[in-house]
Amino acid sequence: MRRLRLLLWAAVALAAIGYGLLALRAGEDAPRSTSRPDPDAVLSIGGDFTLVDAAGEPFESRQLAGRPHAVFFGFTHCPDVCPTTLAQLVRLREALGGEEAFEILFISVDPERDGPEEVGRYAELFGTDVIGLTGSRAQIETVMEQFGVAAIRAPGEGGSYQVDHTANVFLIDADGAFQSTISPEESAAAARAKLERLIG
Amino acid sequence: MKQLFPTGIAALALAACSPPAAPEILLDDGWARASLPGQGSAAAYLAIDNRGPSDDRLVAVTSERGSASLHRTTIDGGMARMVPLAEGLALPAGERHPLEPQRDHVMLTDLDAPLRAGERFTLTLQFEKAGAREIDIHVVAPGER
Repeated sequence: MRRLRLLLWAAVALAAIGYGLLALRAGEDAPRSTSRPDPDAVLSIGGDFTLVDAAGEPFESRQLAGRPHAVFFGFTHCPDVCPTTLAQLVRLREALGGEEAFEILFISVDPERDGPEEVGRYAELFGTDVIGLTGSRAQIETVMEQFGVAAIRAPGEGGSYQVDHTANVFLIDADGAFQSTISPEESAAAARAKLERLIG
Repeated sequence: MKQLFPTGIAALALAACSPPAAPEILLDDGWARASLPGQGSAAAYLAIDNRGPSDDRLVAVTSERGSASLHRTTIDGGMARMVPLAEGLALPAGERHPLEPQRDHVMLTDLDAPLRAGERFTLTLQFEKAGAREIDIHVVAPGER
């Protein structure tokens, strides 16, 4: 019995050390931002928001009224996931009727590095109409919360950093209502079917 | 007929003496998406085919255009992360390992200049057994692939 108790206490101590190490590591990532999806908010993904467009002007989500849109959160220094996702959206949109079919929104989760100019140039890379948006840290965090998006800075070499982030695409219909998400793990065919449903 | 016979023998003898002609590691389909000034990082993709009889390992990548390193993108519950492949990449004999979007890729950082659609540059891959191999990376417009 005494041995068991000792073993249990040892397990508790190990868990505490592990937790401490995790907390320390998390601390190293500062400054960082996390916003965990609120389970109660799952049914109300999206909603009205105000951000800043490539011209530095306020961008109201109301400007999208009547137009279905695909919303992707990312950052311009993102080498793999972001351009891959946007390239796929662009190609699918071309196959589904081009720019008239739906809007593509790219919202930066890295407003410290991505100003209006950066998101604007990044959006232009794709050779078609992509709406690049940024904003103040507070504006970005509000929108991330509305969509249940998380973003955590992952430090790299020489003070550089990448941002681990939610890579789902959110599909919002012409009435501004959330319809579905496209996960990066889904096939192009599945993504296409969802987009077809979005544009009706 | 008289002449054919010795020629045939000679060809056989040559074939028996020469080392295996095909390289054990084949690289193909090297590509990257164009990047922006100030963007600093980009990803390069290619396919590695280990046609040899033994396992090998990709241990390092270098580029004339900036720093290069091996990374793996993982997606878990919709959350995308990039993990450096510090141990390199195991290449089992007879297997093809594509480095492709949202999976394993070469991450380029500190680019000397933005990657422009239409240009090419060289990546050098260092394998544990096969040594150094080069591959041409073709830069494409970001919406293209």
